[in-house]
Amino acid sequence: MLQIESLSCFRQDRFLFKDLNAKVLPGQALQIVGENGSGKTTLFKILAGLFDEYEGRVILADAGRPLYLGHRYAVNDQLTPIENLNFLLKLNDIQQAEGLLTAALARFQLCSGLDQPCAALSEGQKKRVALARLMLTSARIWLLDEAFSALDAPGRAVLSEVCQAHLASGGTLIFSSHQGIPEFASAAQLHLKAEL
Amino acid sequence: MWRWFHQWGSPKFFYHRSGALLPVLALASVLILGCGVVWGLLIAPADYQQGESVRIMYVHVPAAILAQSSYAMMAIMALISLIWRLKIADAAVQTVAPIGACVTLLALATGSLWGKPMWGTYWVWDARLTSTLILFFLFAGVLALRNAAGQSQSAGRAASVLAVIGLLNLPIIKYSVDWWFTLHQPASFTLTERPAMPFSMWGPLLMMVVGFYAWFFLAWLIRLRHELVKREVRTDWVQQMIKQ
Amino acid sequence: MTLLLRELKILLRSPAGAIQSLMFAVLVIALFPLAITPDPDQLAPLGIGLIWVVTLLACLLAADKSLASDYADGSLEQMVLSDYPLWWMCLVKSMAHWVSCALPLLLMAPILGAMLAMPLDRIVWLMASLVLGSPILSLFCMLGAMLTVGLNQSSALLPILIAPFLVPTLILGTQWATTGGEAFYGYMLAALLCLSVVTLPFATAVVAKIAVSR
Repeated sequence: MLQIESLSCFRQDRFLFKDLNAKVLPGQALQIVGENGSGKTTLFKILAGLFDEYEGRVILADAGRPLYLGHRYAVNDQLTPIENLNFLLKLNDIQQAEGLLTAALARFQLCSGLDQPCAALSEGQKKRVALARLMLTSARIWLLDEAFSALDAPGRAVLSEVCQAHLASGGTLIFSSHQGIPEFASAAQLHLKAEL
Repeated sequence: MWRWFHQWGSPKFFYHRSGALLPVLALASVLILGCGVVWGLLIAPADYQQGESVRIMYVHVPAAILAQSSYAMMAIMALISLIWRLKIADAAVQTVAPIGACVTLLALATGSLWGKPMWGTYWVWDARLTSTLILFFLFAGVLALRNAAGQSQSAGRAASVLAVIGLLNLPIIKYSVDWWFTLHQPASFTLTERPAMPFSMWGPLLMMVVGFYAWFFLAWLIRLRHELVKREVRTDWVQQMIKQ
Repeated sequence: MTLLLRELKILLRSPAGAIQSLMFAVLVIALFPLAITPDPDQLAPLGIGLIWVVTLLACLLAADKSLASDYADGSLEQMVLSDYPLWWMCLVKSMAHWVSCALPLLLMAPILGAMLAMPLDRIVWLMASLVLGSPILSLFCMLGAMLTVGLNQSSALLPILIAPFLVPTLILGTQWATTGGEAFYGYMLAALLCLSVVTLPFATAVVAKIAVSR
């Protein structure tokens, strides 16, 4: 469960957002909505624990460390998809057999070129490498900042399936997206509006 | 103690209370510096070895002392701002850095002017001058980082970490420069190791040191108050002050 | 260990950075005889100092690149968020910087020394001083890289911030080599190395948390 209580963030001489309140229970999704520059990314960073210049409270009740996937999604160009995935899992102390890694990549339709450095991949393919992490993590709270962008229609479909499976297993999902995602049309929304 | 710390940590409280200090500091620095200048430059005797050029000492020595202690003060403020996240301490770091850099530059400039009659050149790689030069680079680093990183709080914290690390390294730098110096030329004549000074010389020197400190705190306080108003311009207390 | 392997793999697959700093050092050393004199008697006494300064500069110039890609692709954020101790990752990054920058120079030192007409025993002491001293350079360079990562002109800013901190290392290293291994300087340099290894990764970790919040 994740709860936000009267969260305000003051950045560079102005309020990015003021007095935000939200509560997401296990099995629920929350969509963060807002225009460019309204502080979506900052909100995600606060929830992930990367940014602590805010007022108010963020409560992550017995859910462990959330999994944060920003629009910079930590795929190194010099490493192969497998190596990248291995490193990201290692950071969270997860050891997985290589078979599981290839299966996770295959779920996101990455089957060939797994032993080539990621520099050869397209932006959408790199994003799929990062998203494959979702299949292997044990984190209960997912923070997906603009995860649906740069993906083609089949990619988006796979991602929303994976997310729905996560919700069905009692996980929590917080995401932002500029496009409407039909599968999550009924999700609760948190609107950000920058105050000038 | 904690309450006191908390009160003075609030920009509003600090701004209103510190206003009373301004005239005191201004008067003190004008009077003490004025007397010190007259006493040191006109009344105090010339040195039998160095002649009139010894009078540079009355500016150089206070500037050199102030340069070091202003770095220490900056680093202590930086530590406070890192540990307790006091906004006012961060503003203090930001405002003292340029003053400290200027004082260090003054110590360097007067040191090199003094070097001309004493050593025959404007610059000698003397241990003291060298470590003052490095001190200036440390100030310049904090200023440069602050400028490049902009006004955000994270910029202030990065500059604060740099200042604290600088303070911890200062003794190491100083000792290593001393070893380097003694290895290359055995100390023949340094600016500080001199026979006991008569009162007619250390009297004005002490006065100048005190005067420099008074001026330094005055300049710091003016800058700090200005910076606080700028940072807090959206809060109620500043808006009220503007209305009045 | 996995982290170190990752860094080394990245280095091996893009060796351009390491080759660049090596070329920089060789080129600068080649310029000195042209600028000063080809006379071996005058060049030889300068050798230790010149090679030390060039090593220091090469380390400083390469430092910002070692973090730039991790910052740009978001790996740094993930490292800060990970369960791994952050200081350990900072230490690993420093080691990677040392391998990519100082180690090639260390191995090239005999050739650089020969270019400056240094006698063999001098070269041996120079290499010994670099072995002890260059890790300190890398640790400080990583601190500087973390302080400036993501800023405009970070590559110009970093040397200004960090060079003053490298003065003791430079002094102790060159003194130790020029005095032919006088124990005092050797002990001091070793002490400085221990102190840096124990403290700087923690300072870098503090700065890393600030860097990702920009």
